[in-house]
Amino acid sequence: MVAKGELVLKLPSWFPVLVATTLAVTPALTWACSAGADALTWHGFARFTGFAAAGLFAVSMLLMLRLTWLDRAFRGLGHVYQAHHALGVAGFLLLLVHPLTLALGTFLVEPAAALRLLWPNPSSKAVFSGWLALLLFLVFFVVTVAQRIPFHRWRRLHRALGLAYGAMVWHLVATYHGSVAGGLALGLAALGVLGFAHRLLAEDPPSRGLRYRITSVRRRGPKVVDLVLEPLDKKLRFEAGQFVYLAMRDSPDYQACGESHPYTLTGHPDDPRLHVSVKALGFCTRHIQEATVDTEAAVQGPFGGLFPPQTMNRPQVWIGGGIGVTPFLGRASIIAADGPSIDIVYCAANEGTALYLEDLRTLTRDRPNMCVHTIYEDTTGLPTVPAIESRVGSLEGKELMLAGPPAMVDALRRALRARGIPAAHIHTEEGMAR
Amino acid sequence: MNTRRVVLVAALAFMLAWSTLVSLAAQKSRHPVAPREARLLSRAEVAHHDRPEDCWLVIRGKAYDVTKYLSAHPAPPRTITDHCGKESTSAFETKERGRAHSPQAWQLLETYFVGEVRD
Repeated sequence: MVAKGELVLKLPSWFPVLVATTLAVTPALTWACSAGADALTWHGFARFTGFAAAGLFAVSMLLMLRLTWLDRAFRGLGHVYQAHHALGVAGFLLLLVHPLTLALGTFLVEPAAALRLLWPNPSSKAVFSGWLALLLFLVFFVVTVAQRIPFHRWRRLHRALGLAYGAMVWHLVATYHGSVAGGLALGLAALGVLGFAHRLLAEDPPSRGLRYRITSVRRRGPKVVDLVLEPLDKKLRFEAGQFVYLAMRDSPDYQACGESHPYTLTGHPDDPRLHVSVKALGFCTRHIQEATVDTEAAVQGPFGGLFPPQTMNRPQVWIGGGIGVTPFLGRASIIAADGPSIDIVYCAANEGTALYLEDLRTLTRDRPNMCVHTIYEDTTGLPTVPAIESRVGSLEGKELMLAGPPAMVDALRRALRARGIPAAHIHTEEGMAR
Repeated sequence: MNTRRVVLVAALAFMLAWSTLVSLAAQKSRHPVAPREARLLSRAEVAHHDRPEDCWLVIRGKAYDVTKYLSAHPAPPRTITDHCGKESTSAFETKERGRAHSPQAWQLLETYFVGEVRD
């Protein structure tokens, strides 16, 4: 008999994306089926785009939840966030089409009536709420998706998209005529509201999660600190190479930044303590560099699908850059000496910045099936596919795990695809940043 | 094209399309269609116009040819076509759910006026 968790992992990776998209467009398709020939008019198209946009936004709201079953179904929280992002952008594009086609259909019959649809007319709740939602979505999308702003500001503004979503729900209520499609759209939108509330009240507050306490702080480099945390009550169960969301709490010696961020667990799963490495990349991670022993932290998770179970017995190449090699520390600790051949490629600017090289060498010393290679940008150039193959041999038929800065991972993934490596053999933890 | 560019291009295209539609609609609205000459109609005459492709309504003793408006109506066309060729005052006044049409809707209705209905 197949366990529930294993069943999820046996499904193809595109399956959860298909389920989410189908759920999102159900109200629109229901409406199109019930409208018959009306669906082929400008107004019909406008209604279709309106229902589709509402559904996509609603499911996108659900895909921002940090739920371990979602993480498992999508093979990593990064893929959940990528789906959240894609559905949100698709909803935004359809939302822009909705009032334009509605107004165009009206314009062709009665230009004066079209004018009343093209402005947030306060005398009509349906028109006013629709425009309010559209303008809020427009402003927050342009500010948070199209601009490069510091993460903590982006996070606040992105959260404010909830206001736009609220206006959209108001619009759905104001335009509801008792149709099945309208009912489905409202039901889905209500689920999105619940999802948003759950994220806001049960996940984002830094006090939510398992309670841990810092027992050791070790400065690893000028911008990197290693923390060891022990459980104060329940212990987190995790798999090697996974990550957690961690938020520090205020203590007499330390004032926390009030945000939770993802950090890879670098220790062995049997160790009740959690080992994490934090690199100062932004406001909050800079702040954590000053964390002291006895500071309490809240831990949520575990998440991560960098090492799919079906790849366990196959030859692998792990390619990591900078702090991105940390998932390999935990993973290397559980690999059996007679396991599959594993090559680790450590990419760094130079030997001085390869902070975890010695740790990896120590972990692989008694494991003849594992080998550590280095690519130093200062002396041998960027980690290109030929540079990697010159160290580990042909990459064909191997499982490739990529971890590191998003630009490096993205460039490598494209190069590997161009080299003819099937996408199913390339595993990443992308989409975690925004 | 990355997401940032898609969002920016879409936002700009939207604003361009919106301003074009607004200016065209404003221009056309300044030249309203001349009022049609009123004529006297019987209910039997109106009853002939009982199809979606030829739909007249009787509202407060006046007949309106709303055929061209059907596709522009915010609610599904069925809410109107069920009344084609019939007395529709109550349906129009209450939207069949006890909710009144806006003054703008009444104003718009007059542009489809065909004639007075004698009983």
